[in-house]
Amino acid sequence: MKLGMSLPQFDAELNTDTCDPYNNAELTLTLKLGFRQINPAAGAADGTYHDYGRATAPNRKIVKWTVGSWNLWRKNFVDTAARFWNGKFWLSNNFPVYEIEKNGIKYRPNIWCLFKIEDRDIALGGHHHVIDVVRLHSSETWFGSHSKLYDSLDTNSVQKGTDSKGKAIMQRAHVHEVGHLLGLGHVDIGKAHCPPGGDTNASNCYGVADVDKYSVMGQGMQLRLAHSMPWRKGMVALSGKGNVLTATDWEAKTQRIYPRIPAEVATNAMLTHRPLRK
Amino acid sequence: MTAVKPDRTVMMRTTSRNLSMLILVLSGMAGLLGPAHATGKRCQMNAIERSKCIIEAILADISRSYTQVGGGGISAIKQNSTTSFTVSISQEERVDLLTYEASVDGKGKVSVKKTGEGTQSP
Repeated sequence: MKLGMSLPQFDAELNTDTCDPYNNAELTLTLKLGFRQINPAAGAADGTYHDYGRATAPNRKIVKWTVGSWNLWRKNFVDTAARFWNGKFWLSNNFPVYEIEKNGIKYRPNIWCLFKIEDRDIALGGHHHVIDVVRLHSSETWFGSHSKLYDSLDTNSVQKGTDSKGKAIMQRAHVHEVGHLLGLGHVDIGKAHCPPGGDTNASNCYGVADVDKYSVMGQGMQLRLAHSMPWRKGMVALSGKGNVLTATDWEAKTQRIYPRIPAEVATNAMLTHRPLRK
Repeated sequence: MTAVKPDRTVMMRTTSRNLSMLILVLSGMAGLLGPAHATGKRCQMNAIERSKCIIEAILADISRSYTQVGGGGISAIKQNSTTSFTVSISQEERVDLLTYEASVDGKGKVSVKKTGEGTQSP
């Protein structure tokens, strides 16, 4: 069975055809992105563009995209961002849904969280997000990006911050921005120094403690269980069961958890090692 | 938008007696500031020199306390009033705004205190 739905931020599809005593159902979130070139004015080979696309911000030198550089950048963006977010979480199924029976034994599958980016031609429409992209001149090392305006260096790993021991914290900006496109906010939102009602782009929202600075939704590249929220929301929407505010509903793990038989469900066992099945 | 946060005070003794110590401190704190050539006389001489002394003290504090070293660097230093300056630092998704209050006493001692941290979002 394949069950899908379109949400404002992404499409979600649940595939239970993959289920057997060892394999879980798969929930795939798909972001349909349309990338749009920003080139120097009047067809020139070189030009400038303001940080954040804001006229009062500093200018950076840009160059015209070529067919080759454009295709390469898009492919690299899609491949590396999808690889970062794809297949990293499993959701424990705490509801009697999607169960299968084999050799007289009932199995309850969990959910493997998958992710895809569809690089969709801008002319086709139907995108979840349209992203403008500048190609920086070779003399430039930085451009002021945001979630809808990227630059050609955003897929590179660069130092974003420093931890309490003076160690560099590295990040590839595009994976952080894709987190935003999935609906994730900055790591410290909700803490006293980053109230949800304030400016959640404030520097403190990117993490104050080292552990938070290293989060991908802070200044680093590390995933946290909280980053499974888009998939948990997807499962609540698709199954009509549970609530993401209840920690045990579609609870996330960063390790594969195998389908369970009723006795294992009853003890709430999490099978992280391949079990013996008939 | 601007959250006032108590912070350290950077003191710059600018008498010639302390000049060598000042050079040492500034070199250690700022690294990129170059020779600390501020003197008491210079910091009191005129408005240009006074504001230069204040900005140097602010930059020293940023070098020491601002840890998000990625981004596009300092994009603006704006004088809000005779004694207040705001430094803009470009980052992905935002511009950090650090506001300082400064004073220069009769002996040429420059003090700066961070009085606000804010953010400008695109």
